[in-house]
Amino acid sequence: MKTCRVFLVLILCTAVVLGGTGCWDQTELNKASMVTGMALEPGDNMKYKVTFEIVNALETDPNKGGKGGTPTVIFSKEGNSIAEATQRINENLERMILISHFRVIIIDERLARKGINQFMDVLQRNRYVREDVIVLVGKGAPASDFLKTVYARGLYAGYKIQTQVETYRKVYGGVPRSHLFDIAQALLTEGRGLLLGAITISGDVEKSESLDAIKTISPAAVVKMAGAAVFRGDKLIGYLSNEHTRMVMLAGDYVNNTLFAIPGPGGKQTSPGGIDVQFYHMHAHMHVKMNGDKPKIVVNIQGDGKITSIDRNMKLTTIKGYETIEQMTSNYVNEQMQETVSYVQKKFGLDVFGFGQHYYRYHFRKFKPIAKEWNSLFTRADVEVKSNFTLRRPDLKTQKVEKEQIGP
Amino acid sequence: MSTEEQSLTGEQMNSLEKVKKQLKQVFGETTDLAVEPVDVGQYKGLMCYLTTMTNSAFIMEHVVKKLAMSEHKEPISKEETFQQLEISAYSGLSHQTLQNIDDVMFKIVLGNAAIFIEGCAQVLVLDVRTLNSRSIEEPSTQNVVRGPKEGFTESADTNMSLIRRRFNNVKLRFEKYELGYLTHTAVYMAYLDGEVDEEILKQVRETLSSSHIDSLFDSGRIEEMFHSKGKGIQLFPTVYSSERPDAVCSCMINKRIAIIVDGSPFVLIVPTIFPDFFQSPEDEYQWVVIGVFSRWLRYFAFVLSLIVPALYIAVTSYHQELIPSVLLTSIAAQREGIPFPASIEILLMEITFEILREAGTRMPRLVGPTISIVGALVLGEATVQAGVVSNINVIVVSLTAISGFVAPIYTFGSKVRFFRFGLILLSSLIGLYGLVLGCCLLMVQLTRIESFGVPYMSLFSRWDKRRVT
Repeated sequence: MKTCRVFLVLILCTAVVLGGTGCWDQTELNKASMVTGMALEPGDNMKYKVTFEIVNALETDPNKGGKGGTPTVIFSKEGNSIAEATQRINENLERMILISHFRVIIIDERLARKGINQFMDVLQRNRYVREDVIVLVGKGAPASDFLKTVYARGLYAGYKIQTQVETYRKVYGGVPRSHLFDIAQALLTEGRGLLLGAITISGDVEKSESLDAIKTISPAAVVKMAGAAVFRGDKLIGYLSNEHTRMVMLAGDYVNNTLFAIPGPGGKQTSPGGIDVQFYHMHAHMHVKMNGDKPKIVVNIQGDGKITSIDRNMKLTTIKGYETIEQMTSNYVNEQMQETVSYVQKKFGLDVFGFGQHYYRYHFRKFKPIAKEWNSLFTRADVEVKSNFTLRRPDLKTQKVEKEQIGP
Repeated sequence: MSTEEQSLTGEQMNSLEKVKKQLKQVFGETTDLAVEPVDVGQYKGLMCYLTTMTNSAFIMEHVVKKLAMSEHKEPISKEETFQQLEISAYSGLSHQTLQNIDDVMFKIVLGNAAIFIEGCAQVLVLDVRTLNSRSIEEPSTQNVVRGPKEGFTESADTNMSLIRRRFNNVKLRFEKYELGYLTHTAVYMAYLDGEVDEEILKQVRETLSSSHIDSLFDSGRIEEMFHSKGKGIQLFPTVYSSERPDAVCSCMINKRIAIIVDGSPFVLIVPTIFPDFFQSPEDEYQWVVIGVFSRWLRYFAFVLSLIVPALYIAVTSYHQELIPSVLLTSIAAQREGIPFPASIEILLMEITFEILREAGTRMPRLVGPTISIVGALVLGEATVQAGVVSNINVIVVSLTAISGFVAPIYTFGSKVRFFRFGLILLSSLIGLYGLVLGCCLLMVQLTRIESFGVPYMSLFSRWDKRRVT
C-alpha cells in the first residue's frame, strides 16, 4: 500500500514537471541574443519589414571593453506578418533572440497612416513583450534609421531612446505617455484620441551607422523628440509640436514638472525682459458639462514652483512682487492652453485631451447619446482655463543683481 | 580472568604475595603499573597505582608522607590501623574502602592508588588522579568580540567547573554515566533541577544508559546517537554543540540539558530548535538592536547560501525576462565565450570551493598560506582570465561560500551546504519551478523535525508542553 502511494506521488510529480518549465525550455545566455529595439516599416516586397536591434553583449562589457566592434547589430527581415518576419530573423542571425528586453518599438509613419490596429495584436498577445515597452512613431525617416544612430556612450539605440523619452517627459512633459498599454487603453476608451510619442532624426543617418560617427564631438545624427503623433482611431493624421503636446498633457494631469518662459513686455516671444518659472507638483482637473448643444469645459491648473530667472527689474522684497509674477504666469499658461485647444479644434477636430473621456466617466447617461458626435461637438466647445500658481522660493537671489539708483 | 583469584574476597585476600600475583595477572607486563611495598604502622603493606594517571610528586606529598606519619608507638590491631589511616591520615583526600578486588582494579585504572595491608580484608582506595590537560583557552569556534573568552577543554572536570562557576545555585546537577565498553568514558549530564522537563530528562537518561558503543572519543558520537533517535529522515542537525561555557549556561537556563563528554571540548545541548543555530552568545551582550540585526542577518545569509547559485542558474538559463535589461546585458557580456552552460559552470566552481575548503581544514598549519594563494589567485583569477568561468559566477560562488560560514555553529553550515547542491540540480533541470519545489521540500522537512519531542520550529510557534511526549 505504501509503495503504491509513493509511486502515485512520483507519477503526480512527474506529471506536474512535464507541465511546467523543463530542461527543454533552457536558453543559455551565450546562445541567445537580447533584442533591445524593434522598428516596423512597410516592406518593399512583402507587407512588413521588421528591424531588430540586437545586442552584441561582448562590446557592452565596460570592463573588457570589447574588441572595438559595435555594441549592437541591426538585422531586418520582411514578412507578411510581424510574427513571420520575427521568426525568419534567424535566416541572417545565428542565435535565438530574447525579445523580453525590448526597450522601444518604433512604428514607421507610412505604416501608422494605414492604421496600427492590424498589427498590434501580436505585440499585445506575446507573453514576452512587456506592457510598459515604449511605442513611438518615427517622423520623417524610415523607422529602421532610428536604430542605426550610434550614440557616443556606446549604448544601444533602444536604450538611449527609451531613457530619453522618459527623461524628457519627466523634466518638460513634451511627449505623451506612450506605453504599450496606453495604446490599448486609448483605443478602448470613448472620447479620447490616441497620442503616441513622435521622434525624428536630425543629421545624416548614413554617416551615423559607422562607429566613427561617435568619435566626433557633435554626433552625425541625433534622435530627438518631436512631440506627439495624433491618431484618429488607429490611423495617424498628424503631429503636435512639443509645446502643444506639453499643454495637452498638462490638461490631462500628466505633467508633473515643467518650465514656462514668460516673454517680456512687448507681447512677442522674443521681447526682452522675460521671466522663467519652473513648476513642480503640478495638478490639473477638468470639468465638462453640456451647455445646450455646446460643451462647456473648465480646466483648472495648479502648481508649486520657483523663479528660475528674471531678466527685468522687479521688486521681490514684498509679497506683491511674487503675486505679480504668479498672475503673469497664470495669464501666460491660460493663453497658451487656449491657443493649443483652438489649434487642435481647428487642425484635427479630434479630442486628444480626454475631455470626452472625463464626461463619459462622470456623466455616462448624458454622454451616451452624444458619444458618436463628440469630436464634432468638441470642435465647437468653449474652453475656460483657470490656473492658480504658487511661487514658493526665488532660489538664491531675491532680486536681479542691479545697482540701485542714488538720488532723485 | 576467570581464574579462582578473581573471586577472592575477605579473609582469603590476606597475603600480599597473592595480591601481587593477581595484579600481574590482570595488568600483565604494563610498565606504568607501580607496585610499591610500604609500611603501614607495624604492618607490611602494598601501594599500587598507574604512574600515567597521576604524578609522583603528588603521591609523595599526599600519600607517602602521611603514611610515614601514621606510625604508632603502641601496637594496635590491623583494623584499628586501617581506621586510623582512613579517618585521620587521608581525611582530606577523596577515598573509598573496598573489599572486592575487581572493583579495586577498576579504580586503579581510573587513576586511584590502592593501599593493601597484609592480612587485612579491606583495601583503601585513594583518588590521586592528576592529569595533565590543556589549560583553558579561547574557543576556536564561535568566536565573539565582546564576551567571556573561556572555552571548554578536553577535561570533563574542568568543563564541569566552568559551568558550576557560572551557576552558584544548589539546583545544578551533574549525573555521571559511563559509555563505551572498551573505554569507559565518563559522560556527564548537567541540568538545573526543577527547570528541566522531566520527560525529556527521562529520555536522555534512557538513551545514555542504553547505548552499546565500544568507544567514545568525542561528543560527536553522542550527537549522532541523539540525532538518529528522531523519526524519519532528519536533514537538519537536532543537537546543538558549543565550545563556550556561557552559551551552554544560557541554554541551560532555558530548560535545556547539557551533555559533557570527557575528552571532548564540545558540550552538547538538547533539545535543540532551529533558531538556536542562528544565535551567538554575543547577541545578548550588546545593544539589543545590533543583536537583533545580526541575528536576522544570519537568517538572511542562510537563505542566500541556500538559494543564490540555484537562483542564478534558474534565472539566467530559463527566465531571462526576470533580470533587469542592463544587468542582463552585463551578465551576457561576461558569459560570452564561456564554453560551459551556467549550471555546469556553477557546479564546477562549487566543487572547487568544497575541495579548497576541505584542503584548508585538513592541511598542516604551516602550509596554510599556500591554499589561499592557490585558491584565490590561481583558481579565482586565472579561471576568469582564461575564460573558463565568468566573473559573475565567481561572485555568486564566493557570496554563497561566505554566507555559508555566517551560521555560528559550523556543523549547521556544513549540513546546509549539501542542500545547495540539490537545489542547483533541481533548478538546472526545471528552472525556477525546481527551486521553489526544493524550497518547499526543505520547508516540509523543517516543520516536521522534532528534537526530544520539541518541534524544530518552536520559535515560530509556542513551546507546547502537551506535545512533549
